[in-house]
Parts: sequence; C-alpha cells; structure tokens
Amino acid sequence: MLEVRNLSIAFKTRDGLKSAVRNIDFTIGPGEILGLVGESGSGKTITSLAVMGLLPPNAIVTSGEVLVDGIDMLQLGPGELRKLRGRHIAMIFQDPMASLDPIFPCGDQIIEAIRLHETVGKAQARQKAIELLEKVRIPDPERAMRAYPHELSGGQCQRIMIAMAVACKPRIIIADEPTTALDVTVQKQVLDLLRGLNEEVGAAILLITHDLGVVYEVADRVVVMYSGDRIEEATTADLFNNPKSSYAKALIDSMPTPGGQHDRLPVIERDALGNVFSVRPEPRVRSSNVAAAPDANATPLLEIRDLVKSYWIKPAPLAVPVEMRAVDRVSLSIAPRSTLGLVGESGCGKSTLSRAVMRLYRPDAGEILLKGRDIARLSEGEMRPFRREIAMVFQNPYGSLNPRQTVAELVEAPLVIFGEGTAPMRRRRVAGLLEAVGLPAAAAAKYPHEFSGGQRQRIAIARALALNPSLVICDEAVSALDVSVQAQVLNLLKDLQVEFDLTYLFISHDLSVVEHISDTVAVMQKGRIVEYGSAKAIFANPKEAYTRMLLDAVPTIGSDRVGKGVA
Amino acid sequence: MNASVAGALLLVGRKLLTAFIQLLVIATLIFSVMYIMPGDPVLLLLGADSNPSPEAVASMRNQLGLDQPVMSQYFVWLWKALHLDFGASLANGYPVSRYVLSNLPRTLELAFAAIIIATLIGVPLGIAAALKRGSLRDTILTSVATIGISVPVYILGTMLVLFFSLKLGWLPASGYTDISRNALEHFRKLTLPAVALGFGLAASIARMTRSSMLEILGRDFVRALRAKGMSERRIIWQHVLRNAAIPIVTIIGLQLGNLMGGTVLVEAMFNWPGLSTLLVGAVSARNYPLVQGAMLAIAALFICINLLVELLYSLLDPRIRRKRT
Repeated sequence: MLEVRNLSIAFKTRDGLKSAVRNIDFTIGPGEILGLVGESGSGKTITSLAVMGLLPPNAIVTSGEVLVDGIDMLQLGPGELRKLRGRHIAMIFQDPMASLDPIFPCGDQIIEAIRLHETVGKAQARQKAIELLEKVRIPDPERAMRAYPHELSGGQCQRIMIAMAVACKPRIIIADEPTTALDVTVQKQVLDLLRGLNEEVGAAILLITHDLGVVYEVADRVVVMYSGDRIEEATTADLFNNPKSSYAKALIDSMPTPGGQHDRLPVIERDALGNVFSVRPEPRVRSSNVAAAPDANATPLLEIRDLVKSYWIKPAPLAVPVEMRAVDRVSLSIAPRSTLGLVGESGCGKSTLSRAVMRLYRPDAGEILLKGRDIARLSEGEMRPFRREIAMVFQNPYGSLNPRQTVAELVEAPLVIFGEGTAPMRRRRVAGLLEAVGLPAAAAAKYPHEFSGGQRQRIAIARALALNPSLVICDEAVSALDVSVQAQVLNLLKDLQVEFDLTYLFISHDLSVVEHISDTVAVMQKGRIVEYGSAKAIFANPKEAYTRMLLDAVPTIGSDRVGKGVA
Repeated sequence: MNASVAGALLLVGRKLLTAFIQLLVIATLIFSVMYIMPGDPVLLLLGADSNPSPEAVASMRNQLGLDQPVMSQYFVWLWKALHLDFGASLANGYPVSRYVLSNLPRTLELAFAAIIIATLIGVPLGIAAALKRGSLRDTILTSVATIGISVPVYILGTMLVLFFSLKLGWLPASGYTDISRNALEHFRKLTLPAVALGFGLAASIARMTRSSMLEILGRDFVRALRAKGMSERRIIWQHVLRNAAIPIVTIIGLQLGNLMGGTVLVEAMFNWPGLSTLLVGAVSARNYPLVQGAMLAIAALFICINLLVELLYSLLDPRIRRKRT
C-alpha cells in the first residue's frame, strides 16, 4: 500500500548536500500500524514529509521511490500530489494546537477539509463534521464546532486533527509524534482512538515517535532509525524481546523501567568506528568521606504545610470572579539528600507549587519551612539569604539559557548576583562545576547554541549548583530530552545528589522517570495531593484510583498491549 | 444578556473611557504649554509696537478672561472645549471651531487618500516578495522599499511636481479646489500630495506585509493545510493573509494616526489648506486659541483612529476578543 524504496534525502547547505536520510526501505500493508522510532535528528520526520511531498525547500530527495498503491509520489506534479493529500494520505502532527489555524472555528476547518475532496454542500459537510467529532469522541461536538483552537485543550485539538485526517477516509495516515505534547491519560485515549479508527476505517498508520512505550503498545511492526539510517526492522514483539541491532538494544535499555528503581540507567556510547553500544556507567565515587544515606527521620529540609495559592478568574466578562485553587492545602516534606517526585497532569498545580516554594510569589495561606524556618511570608529582602538555598532547573534547555551569554557567564551569574568571590575565584568555581556536570573545560568560552539539548541541560544544572544550594527544583528537567540523553542526565542528577548533598523536588509528568529517581512520591490532582508516600509503595501498590489511572495510562514495555479493536 | 455581546460592549466601553482620559490629559498639556510659553497674547493683539495704554491692556485681559486665576481659566477653557468652543481667533475674532472644522476634513481626506494608495501598493508588493523569498524579485522589491522609506517626502514631492505637472502637465502643481465647486479639479489636485505622502508609507507597509507573511508561512498550521491537500493559492488568500493581517493593520492604523499631524510638509508644499497649514500659520502668528484648537483636533483624531484600529483587531483575531474580556 505504501512502499518506500531506497529513499535518500539531503539538505542543501552552503557546503553542498548534507545527507539526512540514507537508503530507507519500508512497506506498510492495509490496516497495519508501522512504528518509526528514533531520536531527534534521526530523520524520521523528514522521511514522513518526503512521503507527503511536503519537504521544506532546502531538502531534496536524492534517490528512491515512494509508492502509494503503485504510484510514485515523487514523480507527481503539485496538482496531482494535492489531490492525493488529505484524500489518500492524511497527516496528524505533533503540536495539535499549532496545527490548526488560530483564527477560524474548528468546525469550519473540518468542513473545509471535507469540501476540499468531496463535492458536498456546506450543510451536508457540517453534518458529516459533527459525525466525525462524535466518532473521535469529543464531548459536546456542537460546541467544539464553534470553538476556536485556543479554547480547546491539547487533547481536544488532537481529536479535531484526527477527525480532519480521517474525514475523507484516507488509506494511509501518517501520525508524527501525535501524543508527545499530551498528558499520559490523554495520550492513552488518543492512542486507543487511533487504534480503533485503524480497525474501523482500515487505514494503514505510519506512527512516528521517539517513545518506545507508545510503539510497544500500538505498533504491529517497528522500523528503528538512527542518524538517517534504518537500523532495524522487526515485528514489535521481536524488537522488544530480542532486538538484533545493538542500537535498538541500547535504546530499549536506556528507558527507565518499572521495578529497576535505584539502578543506574545504561547510556548509549559510541566507539571510534561509530558503533553503538550500551554501557551501564558506575556511579561516581565521592572523593571525600562517605555520604550519609538519606535519613527519613531527620528534620525535613523542606516542609510544606497547608499551602494555598488561588487565582481569581472570571467565567464570563461581567461575572463575579471565582476562586480557582491552583494549590489547595498541600502538605509535604522532603528529607535532606532525598528526592521527592511530584507527578500530575498538566494544570494540576505542580508548577504553581514549585513557584511558591521558590517564592516567586507569595502563597495565600500555609507555611513553607526551609531548614525549619518559615519562608512563606518573608519580604523580598529577608528572602535573599534563602534564595541561594534553592535553585531551579527548567524544562526547556533552549529557552532557559540566554543565547548571548557564554557558558562561563551563564554559570557564574548566580555568583555575581550574590557578589561572591573575585573574578579568578569565580573562574575556578565555574571550571569545577563544568567538570562536575561532565562538560569539558573548553565549554566555558562557548555559547549555548553550540551545544545539544542534553549538554545545555548540563549547563543549566551547573548554573543551578553554583551557589551550593541545598534544594534543587527540577521542573520537567528531562522531559524535553531524548531517551538516551535523558538517561545520562538522570544518572548525572543522581551522582550530583551524592556529591553535593542535594535534595531534589523533581516535577514530572513522566511516571517512569519519577519512579526511577524518587525516594518519595506525591501525586497531585486538581491542586491537591491525592497520594503521598514512598516511591516503592506507591508504584507497587497505588491506593488512589487516580494514581492507578495514571500508572495504567503509561505505555510501558512488557505490559499488556492494547488489544486490537479495543477502543 | 448574551455573554459575548456583554463582553464586546464592555470592551468598547473601556476603550472609550481610556480614549476620553487620554484626550483630557492632552488637553491639559496643551493648555499648560500655551500658558507657560513666552509672549503676551494681549500685547500681540493690541500691537506691541503701538505701545498700548495699561488701561487698554487691562480691559483686553478682562475681555479674554486672562485676569482670572489659572485654574479657573483652565476649567472655563476645558468646559468650552468639551462643547467644541475653542474661543475666537485672535486675528479676526471668528470662532476657532469654524477654522478647525473647515480644515480638518481636508487633512483627513489627504491622509486617507495617502493611506489607501500606500495600502494598494504596499500590501500586494509585500505578498509578492514573501511568496518568492530570496528570489531576484524579492531582492528588488525589498531594495525599492528601503529606498522608498529613506527618500524624504519633500524630495519625492518636488520630483513628482517637476515630472507630472511641469514636464508632462498632467496634474496641477499645487492648490485646493472645493469638491462642490469642481469635483474633477478637486481630485486632480489631491493626487500629487497623496502620492507623495503615500509612497514612503507604501514602502513600510510592504516590508511589514512581507515579514508578517513569512512568519505565518512558517507556522505549523500552514504545513497542516498543505497536508490536507489545499491549493497553495487558497492557503495564501484564505489562511495566511488573514493571519498576517493583524500586524499589517497595526502599522496602517499607526501611520494613519501619525498622518494627522504628519502632513505638515506636504500640506505646505502643495498649498493644501488642512489642519497642519492652519497650525503652522497660527503658531507663527501666536494666535493661541487657534493653536490650541488645531492641536486638540489633531490629538483627538489620532486617538479616535487608534481606538478604531484596536477595535478592528478584535474582529480580526478571536484570541484577542476573548482574552480582553
């Protein structure tokens, strides 16, 4: 049905063609779901764009064929291609909200998609659009028809995109990271939906993702890509049980898996010949005296008691503002040198809570005890000595580093702000910090854009450690990273915890990561902590229904796969 | 009441209130500037050279209300201004409002004509450049636009007059004919000043259109529209242009506002009897009431146009509509 033969794609650069994808082959049969897996930069998205004939102007196909029912897409003119797009091959994109035109109601956009390929009247198309919305199980389809994209949640927008994609009963659907921007529970719903539609409509699905768990649960067969090459193709069961290539094996290994809580994650290493293999690095040994193990009975480093933070929102322009409790009587404590994992879906109040602890704003009620002293109501000036005790590592390593500053300037900034040491002393400190996070000393003179995402996150961590904080808040600190890079950063965080006596408040939506790194876990839902306890206990035996639902939604390797036909 | 209607009314109401407060602040500024400026209008009025008697000066002060305390002068002036009464011209005693009301439409007409010309030239050129980014066409259009922005309006105006009226004799070099007297002549005389004014504006509109189009063309949803199988032309006209319109409307609106006080050179050059001409004449004659009246009229127009532009945004962008309420 879809056959990609010997496809090679290159980018035009000033130094000539730079190969992006080399000799890719794969086929998808009717009703099949093929997973295309790889890390960022592996060429999976560019391959999918080539299939759609949507390559950016700076990319060209250097060889190969893309056969859709025997017709080579690469030989078609723009007009013929256009007729196939949407009707024959449809595409679902990563960021659903950005993929809808912001200034048209969603309904109009679905109607438009229908009328592009079918000669039906507006009223008929509208009727069909509503049926499609029912099919993708959007609550209140009439309202969704009228709503603008920004008025819907990410999950709802993705349902709209899916409705649009299946509108003309395409034979092939390309889904490019369709659930990456969504919460786990929503991800599960969307994957179930895709699977169900695949059954119902009979369309073949090319599922592109970096998430092996997603592939494990949904795909029939998997193609693994690595820096532009096809590394391995196998049925899903074969790939996960018995990966043939060392890269696929390393990739699977580097995912945090349930049960392997305090193990170190294996990371992917490359030798001089470019061969890839997986190694499980030894933990770094603390040079000085042996670190004391976290003591649950010691005075907590951070204790939060009945913390409340509300926002006042107006439901309608003339209405009286109503209180929205983003953080609702939250109490928790973190022992020194331990890690508290804070999990919950987007909008549950995780970030509000972490910002309250940072005292980026004043909580409405409750206490925040840092080393026994309540900082909830301190003034800006009184807060200053406590500021150096708390550091933060943010989610986006691209956005949180000023692109105009060198790494040395970035890392020493906290020292400069607190007027610490002389310039040579600070330079030595920066060198020490860079070494601690595993960056070469030469990095100091470079700018952030010269580093990869994982390296940038190391820079951000070095900066967070500059003032010897006791508490480090990691707000989705590894969420933007590839699995193998994520494994490296998680290992680093563990090493640093021992080396610098750090306490982590680790915020994440990724339960397997939280399970891997945390000593205690707090599950947050709608501003409240619904479950709180030792990580082992919660993951082994979740008591709350919400926690169980979150855990069930995580696509994990080794779990029962979503059965075909189960919607 | 329907929530969205209520929201819209609330939005308009809030904007109107803000506009009124802005106007009040400007009126106060205009009054105080005129008050602290050197030169005594009474002496000027009576003729400083003729060495008027103190009695005559005092009686004139009394007549003009200038012997009252400042605050009371201010409030009397403000109250009258609210009723469009800006006092009488010092030159001949005619009401200032009559001058303002007769000259204001002429400036408005010139400004609108210039903006329409600028939009008609600038927007298509910007689109043309954006669609062929990096091509020769783009380079030429962008360079012409840069030149257009940098050429001062008086040089362009002079060139236009030299070419179209002196050499070709197609259009009159300057002057004004009332539309009721001779409509054709009116528009013939409007053409050159409007083109002179509009050309530079067209250049900046073209640049804004180009960059705004390019930004929208790079968005994810454009790729999604292509994946739906929509034709490139329809993507541009139905989706990209409407999304790109917001910054374009902003710059057009801002320029129109600026033109209210920015037509000075062109009005002087083409002898166009608009607000700027009135203002320049009044300033050199120290005709204070007339200066105040003309300045207030310009400021009021500027604020009104900005208000209209802001309301237009809400129509163009549903996100603004909901967010503000």
